Amino acid sequence: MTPSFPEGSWFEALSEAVAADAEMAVIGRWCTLDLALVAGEETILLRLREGRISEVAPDPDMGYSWSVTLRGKREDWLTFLQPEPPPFYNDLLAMNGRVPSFSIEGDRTVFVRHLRSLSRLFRLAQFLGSRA
Amino acid sequence: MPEFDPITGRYAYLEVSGVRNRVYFEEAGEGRPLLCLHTAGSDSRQWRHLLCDAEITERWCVLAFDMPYHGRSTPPAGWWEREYLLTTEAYTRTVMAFVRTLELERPVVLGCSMGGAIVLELARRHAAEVGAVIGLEAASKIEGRFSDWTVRPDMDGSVVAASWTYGLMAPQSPEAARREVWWTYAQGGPGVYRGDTYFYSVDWDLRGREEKIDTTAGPVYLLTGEYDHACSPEETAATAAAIPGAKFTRMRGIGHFPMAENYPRFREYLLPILKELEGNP
Repeated sequence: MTPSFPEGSWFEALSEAVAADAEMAVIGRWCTLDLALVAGEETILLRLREGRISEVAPDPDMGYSWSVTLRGKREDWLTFLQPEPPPFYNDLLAMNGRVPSFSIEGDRTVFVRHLRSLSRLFRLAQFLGSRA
Repeated sequence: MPEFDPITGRYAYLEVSGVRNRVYFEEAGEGRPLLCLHTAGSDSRQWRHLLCDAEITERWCVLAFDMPYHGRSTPPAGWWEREYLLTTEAYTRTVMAFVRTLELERPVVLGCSMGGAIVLELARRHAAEVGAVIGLEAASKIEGRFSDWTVRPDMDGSVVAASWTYGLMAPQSPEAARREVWWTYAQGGPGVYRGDTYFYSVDWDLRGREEKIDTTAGPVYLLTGEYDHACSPEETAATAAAIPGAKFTRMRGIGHFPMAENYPRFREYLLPILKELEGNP
């Protein structure tokens, strides 16, 4: 059964999908950054190292720092996390521009610099989907 | 037997505002000219499926050219000393120079994104020479598409331009077609995508002048894909509503690059318009 976002088992499944992906093996080597996903009241930190998710830290404490935050309501994420989302929920930049409750925050230079790899990572997340 | 596309590629010399430009174009078919304009930062390869569509080329002479700085059209000499920023004036003059140099008679001009915007300007200024216009993914004013990301030295501008525009496509569009759009974007010259969005998102503004377009002189069709987050169908519909006689269509399951990301779907919307125009020379 598909795990539910943003449970730990969902991130385990995503980490496996990213590690197994042929495209990430080609483009991910230069993708190293720390990224926080905010879904409503929950924050989950992803540490990406050379195109792999090396650590998932739910509710990160003061020992952690990160450069980019993707903030949305849980429903925004659940709408996004499907292979064929409705218009404007299909892409992070689309949501940032057209979904008022969703935003790309922090050091956007880092986000844009890694846009190719992050687009792939989140496409894999959409294929994974989520149990509502 | 080798397999060929029915497309012929040639170079033409266009004089635009006293500057000589060597411009590449592709052509297929016979009949009334259907001139196709590519999107910002891309080139005429986006139209290759339409150029190979026999149902269209048996009645239409389809032409698509690379704007100067794009594809196989080299930038004019001295480009290294000038910031590339496309203006409404320069874009209008370039398209009209192509129409006049090739002696295209009352062509139907079909453009996408910045090409969709300029066809409205052509309809406003040159309705006597342009027979009809079909604008894709265009509205009176497009906000927020001009940025410096692709020209910063700490970015790979080609990859950023390609990835920045990739998400404008519908998830239903075939992956190989979407990846081809990404690839052609990655081949754009440095600063060219940015310079084109200067026209699309900064310089051009039709607001308040829509009603000056005379659709009795030349029909105006506007179509936008429902997944286009740069120019939403609602924004295009508002522009169409402000142009007396303009027709608007919302395209389902398509994003910002209809002719390239999902040609089979796009042609379902295009064919009835061309049929209508065939009866309205």
